[in-house]
Amino acid sequence: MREDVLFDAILRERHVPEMPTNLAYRIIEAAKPRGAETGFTWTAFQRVLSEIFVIPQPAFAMVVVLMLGVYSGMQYTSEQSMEMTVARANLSSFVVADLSVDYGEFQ
Amino acid sequence: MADYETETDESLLVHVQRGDQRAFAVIVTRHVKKFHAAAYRMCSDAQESEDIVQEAFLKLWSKPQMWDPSRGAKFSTWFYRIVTNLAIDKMRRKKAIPVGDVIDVFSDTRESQETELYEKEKQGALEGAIQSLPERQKTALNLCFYEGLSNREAADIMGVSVKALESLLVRAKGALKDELSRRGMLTEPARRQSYA
Repeated sequence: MREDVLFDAILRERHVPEMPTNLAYRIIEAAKPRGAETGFTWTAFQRVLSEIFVIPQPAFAMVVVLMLGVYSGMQYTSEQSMEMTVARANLSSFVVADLSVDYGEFQ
Repeated sequence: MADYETETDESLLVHVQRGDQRAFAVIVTRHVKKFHAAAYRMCSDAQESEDIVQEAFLKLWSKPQMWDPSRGAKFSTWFYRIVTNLAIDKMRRKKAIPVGDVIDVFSDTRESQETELYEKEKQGALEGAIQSLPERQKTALNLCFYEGLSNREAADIMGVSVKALESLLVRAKGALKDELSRRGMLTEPARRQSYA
């Protein structure tokens, strides 16, 4: 009987070291990145953008530059052709004689 | 703004499931000490127990849907299962802990070297004896004796019947008693004299 009491007493004396005081803080801090990823933030948006256009993706950057070049080139061509059409119209109206006009003895 | 400090664990978990970091912080602050102690009792390694409890809480944060309130279990009972399983996984990957590692955790604030030596020896022997128990016996002892869970709760955590748990407890205590008796720890006066 006495042995049982002593046995229980010894079991209860089992030591557990003190927990580090900053353990809770460390856990809470470690959980933070996940919170930032779920919501939209301007910083996160900028990070995503910089990840897309940063140097380690030269192929993507080249494609973007090429597409921009082709687009601006097409804009220039179409504007130029419109100007040309207008100019041609003006010239022909200037050069071609209008027969309905009475030019008198010169005819 | 809601006062999370007064909310129950179960209602805080509903907030955690919505990604509420403040609710998670309250849960961690409220329970970290208890589960750190539980993890330590399972593995007898201070660093390992910190890792276990951190991993368990981060698991809860990253997969809060693991907690299913419809099952009606208390948060702490459910979380003991997470911590216990993580500790068992870690222990299986690790070799047995030398008793010398266990007794190094004591501070130097003891009154005399003799008392300190005696305490170290006693704790080292006790920890060594508990750690040498089979895994399931040790888990049963930790959950029921040290964590104060009911037999039903401990049986649920371990996935065994209450009868099986009681049998594990009886065997664990029997084996421990034999071991401590063999070391002369159950005859207190004689043992203390040997260190004097």
